[in-house]
Amino acid sequence: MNFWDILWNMRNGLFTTVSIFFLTLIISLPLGLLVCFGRMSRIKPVAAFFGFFISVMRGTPLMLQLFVVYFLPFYAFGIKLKFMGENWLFISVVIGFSVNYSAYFAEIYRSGINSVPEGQREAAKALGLTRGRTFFAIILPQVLRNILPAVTNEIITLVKDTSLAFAIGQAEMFTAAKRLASKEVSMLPYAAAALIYYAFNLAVAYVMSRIEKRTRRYAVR
Amino acid sequence: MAFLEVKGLKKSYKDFTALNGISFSVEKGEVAAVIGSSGAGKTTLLRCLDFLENADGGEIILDGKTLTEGGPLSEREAREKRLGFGLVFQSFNLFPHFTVKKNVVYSAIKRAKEDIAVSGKGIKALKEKRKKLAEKKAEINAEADALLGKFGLSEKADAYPASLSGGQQQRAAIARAMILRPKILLFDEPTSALDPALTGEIVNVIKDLKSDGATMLIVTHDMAFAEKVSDKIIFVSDGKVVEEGRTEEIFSAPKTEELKNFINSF
Repeated sequence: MNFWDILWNMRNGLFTTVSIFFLTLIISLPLGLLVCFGRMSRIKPVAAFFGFFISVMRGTPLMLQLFVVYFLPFYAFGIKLKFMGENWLFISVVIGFSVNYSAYFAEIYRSGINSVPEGQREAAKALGLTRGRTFFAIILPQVLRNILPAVTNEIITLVKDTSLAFAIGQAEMFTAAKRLASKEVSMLPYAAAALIYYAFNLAVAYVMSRIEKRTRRYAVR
Repeated sequence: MAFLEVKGLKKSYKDFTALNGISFSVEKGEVAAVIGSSGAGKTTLLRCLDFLENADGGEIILDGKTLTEGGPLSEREAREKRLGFGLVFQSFNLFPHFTVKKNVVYSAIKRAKEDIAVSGKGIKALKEKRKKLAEKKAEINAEADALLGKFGLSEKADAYPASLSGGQQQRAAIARAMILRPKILLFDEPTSALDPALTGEIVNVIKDLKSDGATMLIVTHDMAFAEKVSDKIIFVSDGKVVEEGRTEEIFSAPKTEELKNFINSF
């Protein structure tokens, strides 16, 4: 089996990895904003609850969280996992990743919101803009610009973290590489997997740097 | 009755009284300068006038309307009432992700959207609404172009604020405040963020606005600047008006010891 055959054999695993990646991003980016609102809430118990949520998500291993989500229907509601449908494994992986990453994104959003000068909010207020419009049209675009480097970091980590799905038995790219490595008695599949992760992250870094460049024209000097 | 009348305005923070019953008045078309050392309550006064903060007591009467009736205002009420004032911030606070033109038109367009009521339902009413909004937008755009032209910013209309000089940013901020046609313009320390060489520029801008009939209230600690632009001086100390009068009289013959000391300290 040559290198190209190995890559071809890993295509299904790669597809799963890419699916986990994009679904997690699509869910956790907005979810993180909601968690951030909770964390910054003026209602003390709400802020405390989300502060605790974030600290647990960041303070315990993601692998363990994946197990918790996967087995939750059984231990919390007594539903046998075979009744959860054949996609439950994949769904629980996406839920686990999304919830975990929303905690990290929430903290990134929070730092971004705090980095926008109070004067921006006041200027919007003085011009008679509503609170919702002030946030979404004035504050949020500046937040997104400020947090781009931190978000890039997190996205790159996510690409590599997808391999953790292996732990609860989700067949993704790393699983495929391990299987091939045993079958072929070769390290080559691992090298192929490493190459794909690296290429994936190069693409992520490229896209993010393009976005950063686009926002530079209105950067505050 | 004067155009702007402030009566016994009070504002305290936890352990600090910023405004201790401020009273003064400004006539229509007049340029009034509020002077005083830092910590005298000048900026708090502007913030209370623009309802960025609720005063604890006292009255604000603008163009015959008492704005402070009924105690502290909800955010919604404040939003309506502050539109009589156009505030130009000390650090301008332009929106960095909007072009200069968008900075100017944005609030007016959003406002027009809220104002245009849909009468009736269906596609016809929607079309009517859209047509009205398009007309209003064209009006706002034309007005913004006129303002930018007046302030020498026509070529900067599509530029982002970061590429503007301090003076240009300030003029853009003035245009942004004027698009909503406030009854009175408020300036917070207009010379403090500028190069000393540029203060002549803002003097000319304010004189221009005055000749167009604008009423302005300027908070400043720059005495030379206040003398150049204002018709009237309001000297504030410890949250109170200590002396109020025509600019030339105040500078040539200050009545109180406090004001004499303040003028001599420059």
